Amino acid sequence: MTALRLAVAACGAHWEPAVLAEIERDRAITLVRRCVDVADLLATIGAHRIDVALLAVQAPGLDAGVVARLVEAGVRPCAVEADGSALGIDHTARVGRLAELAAARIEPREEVVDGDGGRLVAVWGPTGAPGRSTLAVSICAATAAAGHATALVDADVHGGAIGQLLGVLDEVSGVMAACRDVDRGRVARVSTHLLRLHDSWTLLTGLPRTDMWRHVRTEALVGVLDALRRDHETVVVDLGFDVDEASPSSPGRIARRILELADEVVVVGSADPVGLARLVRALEETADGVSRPPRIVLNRFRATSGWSEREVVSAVRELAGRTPWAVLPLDQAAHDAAAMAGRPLREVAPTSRYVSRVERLAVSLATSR
Amino acid sequence: MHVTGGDTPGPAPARRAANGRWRNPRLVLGLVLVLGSAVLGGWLLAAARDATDYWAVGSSVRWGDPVRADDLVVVSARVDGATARTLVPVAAGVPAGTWTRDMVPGALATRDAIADDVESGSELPLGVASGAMPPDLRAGQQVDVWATGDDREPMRVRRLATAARVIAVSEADGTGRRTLVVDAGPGGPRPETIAAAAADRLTVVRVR
Repeated sequence: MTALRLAVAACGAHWEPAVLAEIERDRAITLVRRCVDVADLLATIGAHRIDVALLAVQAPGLDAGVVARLVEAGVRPCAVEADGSALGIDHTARVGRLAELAAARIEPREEVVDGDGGRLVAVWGPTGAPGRSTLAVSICAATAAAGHATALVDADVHGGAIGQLLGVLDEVSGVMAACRDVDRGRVARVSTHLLRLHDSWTLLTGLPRTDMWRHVRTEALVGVLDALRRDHETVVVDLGFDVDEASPSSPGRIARRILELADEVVVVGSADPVGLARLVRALEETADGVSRPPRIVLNRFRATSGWSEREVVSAVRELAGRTPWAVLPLDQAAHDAAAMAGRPLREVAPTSRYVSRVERLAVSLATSR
Repeated sequence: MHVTGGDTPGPAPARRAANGRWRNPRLVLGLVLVLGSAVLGGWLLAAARDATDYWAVGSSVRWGDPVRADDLVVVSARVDGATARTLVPVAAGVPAGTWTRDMVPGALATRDAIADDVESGSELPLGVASGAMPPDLRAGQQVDVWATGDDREPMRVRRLATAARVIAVSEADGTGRRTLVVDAGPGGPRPETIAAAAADRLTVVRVR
């Protein structure tokens, strides 16, 4: 029988001497390393084969991200004499009963899909500023005005702009703070990082700088969105263009993961030759990563291009094999006024054709199932 | 700076950039200042123009002439209280009475320049030989009347009247003699004055 290989990260917890003595007595358990801190533990699982990690839930640096990395590495995390469920630790070890760990086996964690939550709408599009954030803001403004409890999450890791678009002066990144709370098992505090813009509309501001994306762990953001879906009918996520997941540390993994989870994916492209080419390539890149057929929105359409709306729609249908959902006209004066006022377009230019068309899209998104 | 994640149980109200609507407090303050300045300036101008209309003399009048509306013009003036009480306001209507002194055009009509009636005493006619009075003597002027004795007492000179107001001056008759009527005062002339006027040679000296 192979001995159970243990790593202990007690970080000065009171139970450490008793656990070490018990391990020394039990021949079925091998202590691979007594880690001085969480960083030492992560280094250990990279260098040795570890079956179980005994953890002190109060250890500095221990959060849901660390637990997720342990699980990914095949290590079973166990909280000693404490409940670690808030951090995603499913097992609890008792001093004097460590032998029971050998009998337990790792069961793959199943994703819980809560069908009663609000709808998750991801607004995404290729590079080139096709109007993702503006459309996300406009959709939220419309659904909130219709009385639907709406949350807008700025998840563009390449520099969120929604706070600027809405004239929000707070410099704290709501997304980063909410993800930090989820990592520390404080999911209930996610709502405290929301900013109320309207009776039915709250905002989670994005990252002010691109280099801060490392503070947003993908699964933590998923936890944030799950928490928001419990309190809101519609959760709209503004994603950055980047969906490249070539490496585990790529920021594109965040957008890719949200696209997989979203109930509705709105793909925004600019209705000009360059924008359409980027849109078609982006649709090909994400064809296998989206759970539902994306709703294609051709934005910034202007008649001065010489094309009619029907011609643009036909071109996309031929090139991408998908029929665009809507065409939104470019109302530059209204967009400029909204940006300067820091207010949604429907408040600044309610008669704009852009607004009237987005209203219809928002109603469709909020009511479709 | 507002910080999220505090002790509040739910979402905090977003602190948003103010947009420049017309309700901007600075704009309202500016409007109040402009309106206040306009009202204050108007009030000061109105106060500066708070003048009263008074009667003034439009054409020359003489002592004893009745006051007529044709001789008066209206002028606006802002004067202090003591001076205002000496003038005749237009609001009181055209004053009735006669002028108590000569007035030139443009002079303000004062209350003491108008009397209900010119106080006059007895009218004393005096026969004045040619060359014994200023040729341009006219009514309203004041004169001293001197009497000189006859041939027996040529150096006997007496003054019969002092600063007597001339009431009328007749035209010269064929001998150049003129009749001068002067005011002899309320008590009338003394007998010796009558005697001297009848017997002596008279010389009229204009004093004013």
